[in-house]
Amino acid sequence: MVLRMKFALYAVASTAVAFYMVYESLLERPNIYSVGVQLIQGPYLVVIGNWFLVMGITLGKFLQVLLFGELRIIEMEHIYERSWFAVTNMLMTIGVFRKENNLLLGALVCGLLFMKCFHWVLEDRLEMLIQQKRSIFRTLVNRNTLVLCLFLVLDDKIVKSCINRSFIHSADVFLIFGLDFLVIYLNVLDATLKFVLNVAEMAYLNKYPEEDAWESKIWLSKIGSFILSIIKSAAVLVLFVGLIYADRLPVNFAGDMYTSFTRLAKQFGDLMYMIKATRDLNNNIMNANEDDLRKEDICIICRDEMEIVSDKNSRSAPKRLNCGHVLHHGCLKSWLGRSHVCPTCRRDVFQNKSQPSSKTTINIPQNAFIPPDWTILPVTRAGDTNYTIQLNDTTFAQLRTRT
Amino acid sequence: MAPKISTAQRRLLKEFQELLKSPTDGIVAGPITEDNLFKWRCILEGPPGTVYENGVFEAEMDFPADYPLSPPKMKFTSEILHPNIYKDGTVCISILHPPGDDPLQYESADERWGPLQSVEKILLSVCSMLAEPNPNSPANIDAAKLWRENRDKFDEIVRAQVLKSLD
Repeated sequence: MVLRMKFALYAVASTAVAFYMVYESLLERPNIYSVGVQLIQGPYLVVIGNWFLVMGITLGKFLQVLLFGELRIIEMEHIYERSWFAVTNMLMTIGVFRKENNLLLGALVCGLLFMKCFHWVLEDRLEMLIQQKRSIFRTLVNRNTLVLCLFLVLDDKIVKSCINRSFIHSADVFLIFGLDFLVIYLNVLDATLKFVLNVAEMAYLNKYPEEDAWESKIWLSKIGSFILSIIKSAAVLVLFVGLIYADRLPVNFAGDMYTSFTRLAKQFGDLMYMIKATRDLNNNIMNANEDDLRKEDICIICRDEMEIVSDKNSRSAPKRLNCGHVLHHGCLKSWLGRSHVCPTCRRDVFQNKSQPSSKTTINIPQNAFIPPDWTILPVTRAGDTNYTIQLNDTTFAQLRTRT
Repeated sequence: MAPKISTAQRRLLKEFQELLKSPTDGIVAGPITEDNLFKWRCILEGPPGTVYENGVFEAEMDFPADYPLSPPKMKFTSEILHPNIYKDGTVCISILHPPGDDPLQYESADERWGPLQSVEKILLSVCSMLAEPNPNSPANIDAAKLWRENRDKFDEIVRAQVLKSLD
């Protein structure tokens, strides 16, 4: 509240000073043109620039209140966190241009920055709508979804017009900003996709109350995100190569390129894993028998009791993993959407029983006391004076004999 | 539209019943209202033998729709100074982080969130966190600095908060 008051005071002062300067210059100078020349020089430029900055922030704040209302703490944090990076990146982008129109550049930079902030908030809002778990109607019809539609149309128009301009006037400035806009457009499309799929899941569960998950959702969401990532990586690649051709060193895009390609590779790996997991789940993972259930009859995920059912593919059928732990088929499927390891012992679900999933090695200090019967543990010779002792399934000790 | 009971809701109900049946010393937790199982209020007693001793701290837990696949969020509503608790009360502890979130593998996978964990285990971890702060990954830098450099002042602030928590 105090901050707001201070800013209002500062805005009023800036406006007053700016108007006074314009007024004074109007009195002093013979015509409008010479007033204009004076205003973009020296101390006048600082005052006018400051006024534009204050007005920009005010306009941004006004639009934020209009579009989103009060911001939540997490949204504020996201804006603070990400805008540092965005501003640095943009300053470096400006450095790439040498002879372009400064006014146009300024307008594009400010526009992009505003759009970025609004998109971050919008993405957080879509997540919030799902987390609130309200009825489908109230999730779909509210201010946030209205803003989403508005932004989707706006993004589409901006990207198209930037790309068109860059080809007609062969102006790099529009190409670079167009691709920047394209990236935020793709990000919001990704968030929209997840939102739509979540709403579709709600509708599906209402229609089939006996089901407890919509299994296609995770597939659609992973494939959709993957396709969007491909477009994004391609766009960044085009930009990068294009700038090198134009004899410019796109240092600031190297980071973008690295993150988008590692993300793409990770998504591809995940997708491949899911295809393999689904195949293995049907072929490799055994159904639990009564013996298994006697040892473990509570599913660790839903904490419900498990019992043998006749339909082996139903979501409530108990499945035994290679490590011996038993889970519901459905719970296992949802878990495999995010992790590849057993939720109880964290061993790889599809790895063979005999192989330990990870090796822990301890180095025994030279002066350690070694019990006389140490050879009862499995020992392998690892070198002339080195031995490896297997203490249990996953722990190994290194031993060096003294000569 | 009558919402159907989901896996998450069933499991939360189970955990709540379990906590009622066999309560743990120093921990009380349950849904704030009957119609929303995804928001819990917890009351933690400061662990004995620490500066937090005798304090009664309130916290809220927010569960995601895909609980227990994803971890809940926990936030103290009582004022509490601690290196691993953000200024707004949000708790930063490895058990509340899903594995895979940490590319540097700073926290080992065993301490991280998984369906094996539960509300009770989280609250017990938070109690042991109160007893033994982890200054290596501070959430509240000022608190961590105070804790390391001026323990008397730190203890004094916490004791005042303990008194306040009893009102």
